[in-house]
Parts: sequence; structure tokens; C-alpha cells
Amino acid sequence: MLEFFQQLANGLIIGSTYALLTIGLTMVFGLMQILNYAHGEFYMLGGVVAFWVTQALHLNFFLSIIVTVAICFMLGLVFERILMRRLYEVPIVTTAIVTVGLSIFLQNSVFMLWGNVPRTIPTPFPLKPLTIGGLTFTSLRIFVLIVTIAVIVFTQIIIHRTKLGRAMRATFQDKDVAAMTGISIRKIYALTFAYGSALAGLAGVLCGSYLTISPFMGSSVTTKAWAIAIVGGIGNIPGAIFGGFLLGVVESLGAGYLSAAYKDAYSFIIVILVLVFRPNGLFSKKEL
Amino acid sequence: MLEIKDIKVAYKRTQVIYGLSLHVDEGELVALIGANGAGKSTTLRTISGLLHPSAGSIQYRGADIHKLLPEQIVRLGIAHCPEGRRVWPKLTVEENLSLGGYILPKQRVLEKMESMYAHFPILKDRRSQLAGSMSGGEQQMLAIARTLMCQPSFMLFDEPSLGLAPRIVEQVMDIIANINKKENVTVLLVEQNANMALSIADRAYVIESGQLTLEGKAADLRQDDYVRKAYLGK
Repeated sequence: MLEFFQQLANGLIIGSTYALLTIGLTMVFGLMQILNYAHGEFYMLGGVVAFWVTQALHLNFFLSIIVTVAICFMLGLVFERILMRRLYEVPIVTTAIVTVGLSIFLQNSVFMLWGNVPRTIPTPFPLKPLTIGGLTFTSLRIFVLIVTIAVIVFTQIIIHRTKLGRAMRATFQDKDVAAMTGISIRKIYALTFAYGSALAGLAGVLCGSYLTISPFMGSSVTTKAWAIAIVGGIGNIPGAIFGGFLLGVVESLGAGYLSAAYKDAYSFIIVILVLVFRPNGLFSKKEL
Repeated sequence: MLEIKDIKVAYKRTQVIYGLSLHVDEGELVALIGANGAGKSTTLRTISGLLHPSAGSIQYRGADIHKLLPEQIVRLGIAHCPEGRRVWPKLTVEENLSLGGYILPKQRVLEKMESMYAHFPILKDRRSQLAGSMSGGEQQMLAIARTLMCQPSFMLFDEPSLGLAPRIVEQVMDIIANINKKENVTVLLVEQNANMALSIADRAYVIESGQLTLEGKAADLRQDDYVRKAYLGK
């Protein structure tokens, strides 16, 4: 039984980073109808930038998180300005092709500048695990869980309690009317894309502190985030959060009880089941 | 106050408006009547900046506005109450109203909201309900109140009677007449329900296939043989 709870807890920790990743992806699709295949590259950039910041600027781990998230937000604004903005009125397939191109470009740019040696972001956390009620965790993983949950709650507060969030939800539901009441649709789009990129970057830093960072780590993450978005219902933020935790737990239990070799396959089995029985996702309607 | 000069508008690739000119003077209530697909909604959408004319110009208080974005046009005091009500269904009544006053400072929004609740008590009762769960008539009240929130000096109404019970239609027309007469808001009203529109308008234009075919005082148009036959069913 203890084994089960251990796997469950591990799954929830991984799942929290999945949720973080998927929120941005699902928001961008729901709001702007862009299939963003470069989303995982912002996750990768988060890891790479954080590593660079800790090495070159000698910032400590906590400061490097803040700096990295800010840089990913800026990069999101830049790419929205030069690329995404041109994709708002084009067919969805075109958006997919362009973002696949962006993904290849970013992967290989980082590869050229940085090489392909796997690295890990150094953290001040001790390696010695903590034991809580019979379950063991490293303090780093507990830190990851706390940060992701705090950011998810923060995101919900922004969306549901602020004027900006109200404007985002209104744009999501009817953008013409939103524009006519004075909301700048362009600004909402740019902020949404940048925020989603910042969240992906944050997930990259957090995962890069206990996994390895490489220029190509983003592509599998993009597919996983899409799987989660489909499970939760594309364009649905509560769905993305729930789906993230669900897939984390399923992967962890599958790896623990069945076989760790098929870890990545379990999430896609869930996707297939959802597509067969609830084609619109578990939370069917678009909802911020 | 508003002067449209010979605009041509295409929607996607289909041309919808073929050289239309009209004007609305300060304080007037002008109706634009015509059949489905004649270009009425397109005209309003062009005024509020959702569409841009390929030729011609639109002037408001003497300045060109046809190249501006919707969020700039609402700041000039032109507000658009869209066809089909278009309230945000998954926002509460209060959130809908508060976004209606998006361009105003917070304090002003709260004051305006109280005055809307005084005018439309039903909205006060439903303030924390989702807009999508209300009846068509209630949603139309909300759509009008939301449009009034930004303190417009010029209002565009697109088919406010559409899909409403006759009793509610009369109520809505009274509200629009009141907005014009009591609040001194200039109104351009688009309607298929010509009878209702002509009963509250000062002047009216008839639009057919993207062009104006008639204009005149509302009272005169109601007596016009062609209008009576084609639009009033008499």
C-alpha cells in the first residue's frame, strides 16, 4: 500500500509540471486557434536559459528561476510580434506548419550555440531524501510541487479575479464584442502567448533541475502537452490542470506496476480512450 | 455628427456594400431598414471598425474614423449593440456590465453599474447569474445596458428586436427611444422590423442589395406606397 501512495505522490509531482506546461498550450489554441508545435521549445529554452544564468551570471537557483521566467516571457512577446501575429487569420494547418518550422529552428539554433551535452541545473537542495509519513521525497521535488501549485493558483486568480482576466475571458468567448467594448485584442493575444511561454519556461527550469537539459528535450514534451490538452478538452484550463495531474499519476503508476519502459505510452493510451469515449475531452467546453 | 461618404465594403471576398452614403445629425434617431442580407449589419460593423471600407470615408465629428480599430472607435464615444445580443454567456451579468465600461475608470464603472441596475432592475436581481442562462429578452436588456456602460454619445443598434416576443419588442423600442430622447444619445438603428423602427425614428434610409434606395422622414416613409408594400406588409 505504501508503494502505491509513493507512486501516487511521485505522479502528482510530475503531473504538476505537466499542468504548468499545458496551460499555455491550451490557452493559445483556445484563444487564437494556433496549433503551437514550438511550445516544448519554450520549455527547453527555460532549462537552457536557467543553466546559462546560473553558470555565466552565477545567480543562485531561486534567482535564476525568476530571471528565466522573465526572459521566456520576453521571448514570448518577441515571437508573438514577429511570427504568431501573422497567423491569426490563417487556416489551422498553416499555423501547425509554421510552428513546426519554428521548433526545428529553435532546437538547432540552441544545438549550434550550446552543443548537445546533457546538463543539469545545479540546485542548493540536499540530495538526501526526506521521509514524510513513510513516503520519501527529495526536498527539490517538494519545492517543485509547491512552486507549480502556487503558479497554477496565481494563474486562476489572474483569470477570474482581475480586469485583465475578465478581458481575456471575454475575448475567448466573443472577440468582436470584446474589441467593441475597447479591449485591445492584440494586447490580449500577445500577453496570453507570452504568459504561456513563461509557464513553459518555468516548467523547463523546474524539470531541468532534476532531469537533464538538451536542445531536443522539447519535442517529446510538446506531444505530451498536446495529449494532456486533448484529454482535458482543448482550450479548457481546468481541463489542462486536471489532465496534467491525471497523466502524471497514470505514468507513475504504470511505470511502477507495469513497466517503466512504456512510461510514455501510458499517456497516449489515455488519449485514445478519451478520444473514443469522450471525443471533446473530459471537460468538453472551451473555458478559461 | 456621423457622415458616411460613398463607402464600398467587401466581407471576405464578397462585396456587400456598393457605394453607400448617409449621415446622422446630433440628437437624431435614424433607422436603416431593409431585408435580410441587404448590408445593414455590414454598414454598422464598418462604422464600429470591425470591417474597413475599400473605398469611401466615414467621418465622426469631422474626423476620419474608417481606418481606426474597434477599440479606438469606442473611445470616441461610438458604441455598438450587436445583432443577436452577443452577451458573454459564461460571464456573470455583473462581469458583462463591468466590461461594458472597460474604457472608464473603476469608480465610474461602479457608478454606471448602479444606474444600470436602477434602469433595469431585472439585471440587479440576476447580477451574479451567468448571462447565458437568461431568457432572450433579459439578454437583450443586458446587451443594451452593457453598451450604455461606456457612456456613448452615439449608439448603433443592430436588430434589437430579433427573436423577441412582441411585448418585449415594444419594451426594447421604448428603451431605445428613451435613450435617444432623455439621455441625448444619437442613435442609428438597423431593423428588419420596419414598422417598429419607423415608429420611433426621426428619419430613415431604406437599403437594398448594398445600396440606398430611399430616404426621408420616418413619418413620410410610413405613408410611402413602396415602403408600405415591401416592408410594412400593407
